[in-house]
Amino acid sequence: MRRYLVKRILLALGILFAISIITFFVLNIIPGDPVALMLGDNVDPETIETVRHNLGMDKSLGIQYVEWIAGFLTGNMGESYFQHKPVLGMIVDAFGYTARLAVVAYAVALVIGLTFGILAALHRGKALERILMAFAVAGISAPSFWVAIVLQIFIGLRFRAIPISGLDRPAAYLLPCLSLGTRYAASIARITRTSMLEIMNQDFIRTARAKGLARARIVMVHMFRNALIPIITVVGSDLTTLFAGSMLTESVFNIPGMGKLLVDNITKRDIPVVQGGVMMVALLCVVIYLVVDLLYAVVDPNIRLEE
Amino acid sequence: MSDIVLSVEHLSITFYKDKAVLPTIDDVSFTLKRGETLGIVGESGCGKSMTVNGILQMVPEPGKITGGSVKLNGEELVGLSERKLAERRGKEIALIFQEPMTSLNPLMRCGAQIAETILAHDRSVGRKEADARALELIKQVGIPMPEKIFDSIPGELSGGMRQRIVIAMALCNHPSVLICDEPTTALDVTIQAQILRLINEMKRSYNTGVIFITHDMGVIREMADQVMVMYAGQAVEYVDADELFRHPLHPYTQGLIRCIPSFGKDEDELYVIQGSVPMLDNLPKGCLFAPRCPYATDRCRVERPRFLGEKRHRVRCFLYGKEDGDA
Repeated sequence: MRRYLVKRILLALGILFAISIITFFVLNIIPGDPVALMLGDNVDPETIETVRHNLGMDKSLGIQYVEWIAGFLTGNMGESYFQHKPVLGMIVDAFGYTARLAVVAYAVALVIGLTFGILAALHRGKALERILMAFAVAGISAPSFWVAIVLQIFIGLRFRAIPISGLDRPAAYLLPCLSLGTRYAASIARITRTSMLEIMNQDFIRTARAKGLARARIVMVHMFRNALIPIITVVGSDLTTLFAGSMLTESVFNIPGMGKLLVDNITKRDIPVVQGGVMMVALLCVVIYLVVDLLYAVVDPNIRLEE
Repeated sequence: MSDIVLSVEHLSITFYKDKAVLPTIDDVSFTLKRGETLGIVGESGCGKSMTVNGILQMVPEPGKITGGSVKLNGEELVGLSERKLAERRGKEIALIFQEPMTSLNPLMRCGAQIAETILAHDRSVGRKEADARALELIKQVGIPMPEKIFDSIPGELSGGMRQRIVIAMALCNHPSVLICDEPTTALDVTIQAQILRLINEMKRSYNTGVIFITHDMGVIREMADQVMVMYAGQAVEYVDADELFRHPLHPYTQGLIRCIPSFGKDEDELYVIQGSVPMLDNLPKGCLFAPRCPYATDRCRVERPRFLGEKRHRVRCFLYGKEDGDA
């Protein structure tokens, strides 16, 4: 088990290092000079030089990279070119919004998705399965920004108590969570159903029935636990996309989260903000996948054996 | 009377698939006494395992029990509610499967799988006591280092060990009927002998009635007191084991017995019954075995023989019995 863990952590560190290099060089190579954008059209070359010097952009890329990484490791991600605020603070603020929205939306999606999936599997071939899975297909097919706008029009405008933008009151969570969560609930329902159906035909389920166990116990202890591995995989990858922020949902509901932060600053070429943001998201992804790998081993002791 | 623990009468199971009606089990009857072993033999696809499903009321969709009765300790199981059936299963009637590799939950510790069977049927037993009894059973089925195995998951055990766990699990509530569905088919020959001996020991110490299902006549000779030979969902011969090997009547039974490879005899070739079991959607019009039978006559090909004979020895074949068997 310890070897399993050490191997996964080393791998995670390697991935982070690779991402840092790729992010840094790609952002510095793409066309579009932030200094030119910052100063506008009518400036003399000297001013440009001074600004470049002040920002440290006259040093070689290698040195810039080392300085950036060194700062990153000590918690200093530099300063925004345009807002002159520390990048770390901007990211923490934006991530706060994204994380709150993600956690609430996904918790609801999990409850609905697992329930729908399990019920659909248990009612295989019956009307209930068809109804639940029709919802799931609709949920996956409908683009979340469209769902968002529809919700704003049909719920937000009708019930004034439910805000259609921001995230400052509990009621404000309702619409963004619904539009963001629908998709995830649908995909969880689908994978849960598939995974449960596969387990249901296994011999040990027949054993469990022949042992005279209560139906609830067969479903939860014998079927669901064995169906968990593919579900955990999906949950892990869902969470990574969620924490990267949903640009569309955040735009529609005017929530200053990670997605909005990244997209806004990519357009502005505010390189320190984008670098910091991308690294934050990468770090989170790596941590989530690490937790997923650990959960595999917790859920399935056979994985521990193989190591 | 109270000696009879299981009596199956005229059990019929039908599958309804794509509007086709497939009779899978056709009018099967037998009785099982306490401490007795009934062997059910036949090739794959003869309905042996489906008979088991029928006894346990676990016929998979789209199958249905379409007739007959299954009485366990005098109580009718056909039509009983799922909840009441769950109370009987694992307590009064238990099952050992063919595949020990897949019949245990791969994520659950062996001890817990036994203990949950005890807990499911006795509310007065606590977690600790159930664990203690499970450990005792693990010892009883001859597993070395029982404490360690108690905490192992099935993936850490060999096939023979797993089958012992399955047996311990089946016997933990002292059922009056134990159904063994090809319990040794997936095991090595040496392990096979140990498991058979264990089943016999357990049968004796708990005075259980055993239904032993196999395609292996050699195993039947070792285990069974009574034998029912099945072919394509029907019983074709039903008799006590000694008589069966001395005077097998049905051509199918004779074929099965000739198929046992004998040690020492110098045979050029192993005997095989030509052909294979008919598909359910394509059953012959007459006797189901006629297409493969060396003695088949014109009558066999158009008319189905009935299951006739004295109580001690019944057979489904026109070669025996008085004149036209349709009494």
